[in-house]
Amino acid sequence: MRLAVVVLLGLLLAPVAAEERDVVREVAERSFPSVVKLHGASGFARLPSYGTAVLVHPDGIALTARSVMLETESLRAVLHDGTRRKARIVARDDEREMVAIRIEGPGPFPHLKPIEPGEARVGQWVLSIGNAFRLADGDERPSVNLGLLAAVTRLDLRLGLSDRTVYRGRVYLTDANVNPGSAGGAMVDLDGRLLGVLGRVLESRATRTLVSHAIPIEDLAPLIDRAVKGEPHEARREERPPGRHGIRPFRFGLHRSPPAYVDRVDGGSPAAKAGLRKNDLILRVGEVTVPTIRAFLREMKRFHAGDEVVLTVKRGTTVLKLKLVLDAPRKGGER
Amino acid sequence: MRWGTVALLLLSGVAGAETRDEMRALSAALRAAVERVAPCVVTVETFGGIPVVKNLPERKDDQGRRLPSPLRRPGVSPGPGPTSGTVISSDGWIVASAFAFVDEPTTIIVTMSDGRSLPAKLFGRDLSRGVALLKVEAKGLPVPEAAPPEEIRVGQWAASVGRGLTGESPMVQIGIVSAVDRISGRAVQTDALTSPANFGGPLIDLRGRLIGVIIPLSRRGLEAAVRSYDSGIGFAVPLARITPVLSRLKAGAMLHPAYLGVGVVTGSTEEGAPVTSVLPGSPASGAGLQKGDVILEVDGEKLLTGFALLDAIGRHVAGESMRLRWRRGEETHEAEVTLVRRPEKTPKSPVEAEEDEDEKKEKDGDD
Repeated sequence: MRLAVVVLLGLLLAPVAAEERDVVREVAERSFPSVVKLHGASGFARLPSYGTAVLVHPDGIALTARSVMLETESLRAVLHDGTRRKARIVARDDEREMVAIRIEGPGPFPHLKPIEPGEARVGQWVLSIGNAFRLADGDERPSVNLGLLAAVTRLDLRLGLSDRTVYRGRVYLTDANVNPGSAGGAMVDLDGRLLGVLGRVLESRATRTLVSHAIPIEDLAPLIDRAVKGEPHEARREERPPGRHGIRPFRFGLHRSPPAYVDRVDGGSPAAKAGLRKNDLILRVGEVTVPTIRAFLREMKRFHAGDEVVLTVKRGTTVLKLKLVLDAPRKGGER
Repeated sequence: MRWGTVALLLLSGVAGAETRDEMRALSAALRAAVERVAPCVVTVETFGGIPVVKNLPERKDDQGRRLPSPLRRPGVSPGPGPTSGTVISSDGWIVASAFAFVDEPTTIIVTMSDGRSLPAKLFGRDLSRGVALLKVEAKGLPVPEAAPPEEIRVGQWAASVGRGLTGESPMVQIGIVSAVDRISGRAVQTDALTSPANFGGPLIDLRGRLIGVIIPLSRRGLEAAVRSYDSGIGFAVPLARITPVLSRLKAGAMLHPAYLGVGVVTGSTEEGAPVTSVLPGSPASGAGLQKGDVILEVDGEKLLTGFALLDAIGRHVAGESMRLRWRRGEETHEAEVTLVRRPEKTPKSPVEAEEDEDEKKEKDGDD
């Protein structure tokens, strides 16, 4: 706090140069050339055929959010000056649902410089720049929203009607609402540096509310790297079956989404070794809250034999943390 | 007050043409304010219970086409997932949003700012202000400083803070105070985003003082209030509005909005609140009020409009009394009335009938 006061006073006493006025306009103007409008394949049920991408490399490499509209030979990027250029996907980050595209034509392309890793601060100002609702055409400027970096968090996000988890990693949330079409746009700071790439409007499974988020640019560095080197895919991760925990949750007859009470613990199983007991209520798997049996079982499937999992459980009036080390599933498997 | 000085400096700046340093100073002041209140902000999670928030019909446009899904998933309304709470006493009383408990959960877990998770017990609920009172077994908890209600001004900066979606560092969203004394005098209105994740959390000023606890409120019921999350119309109930009912909430009371049973002219009037209808069997009819009377005073305070009467009723909950003074012709009458819970089915007063025709007009002529 004391440090903050000193820094603040320093800032307040600093002389004000005339050209520093209207910083938001200045930053927006400076960032526009690096934000391109995308037009792709249409005809997919209610999904927009347009989007945004942000240039991150002088060779015309831009990042955008994964979308079916990108999967076409006729993908076009509309540059700042209205020029239409061919573009194609050159690398993918399936976990974060982000892709890198290469825009054809002579460079060097304008592009945004990233912030330093770990530099983002909750409560700092951010500008979200994207072609929301395709309001901009040709050389028209995309839409700019001013807001805060509202939170840095891991979310249980899901997309559209499917119940599948989209991404569990770190995301930036913002109170500058992101709209359809903005996905792939830029989140920049007051120096015009790139904090992250705007994601699609997603729903938080926990609160069933839509959230506006961006994927931190530092987490996308490997994607940019692969795009530059021309390696489209990540090294394939070994598919492993979920590990065994040995917890049998109590299934209520009438309840549609019962909480995860332990009914039985398999003898000698990782749960038994960790000291889990009948009637314990499982609250969390790692950091993720599991309000229902279904959520608990789904979450446990993400861990493999040998993985450590910390379960937060309520036993009577106390809350405990128990560490399980999963082992290999037995023949026949687990529920 | 160091931060007060900073805030003053910031507010004196020219809006719309800020320098980088001015904007940075504002965000630094905001972060310091959040840091001050953060220890008092908790995560509230519920387990078990029966979901009662129904799936809503999908939204269609005027040609009957379904609205595009990227904007809004059809058929689903926000649910009471992890939400927030604000510690109000060092011995573990916590204010949260009543919306968090509509499912009547069997287990409530509160996670403090230091990461401790504690089982919480649900005590009373004030459904008039949408507030619920929780208790955890803890001592020496930090409590927020409340901004004095008379200092809260339309246009001042306000930030909504919550822990529904984050652990360590709370989520913060900025806006201004849009109005005071909204929803019949119950709440402060803000354009800072509010959603189920920060219901129960604090709305703070730039000194980190509590303007109020963020609560979904609407004249058209809880569902409407929750559905308008993140809309730029949010509400926070000042602690000063909760304090009068705190002892009842600690005793586990379920408090309901108050009802008098009169329809009044809500437009501009020559004096007071002219009565347009009196519901038989209501407190108003019991006190002897009749159609055509003009209510002049409530609890010794002169009424300038019909709305003032609705505000006065809104500040009360069912079971509380108020003293009314009214004029009938040349005579004046006075009576103490005990307000009741709004009956399940009330015959429509002329004012209500009007409202049905034009739902968008936020009139509330009958209370």
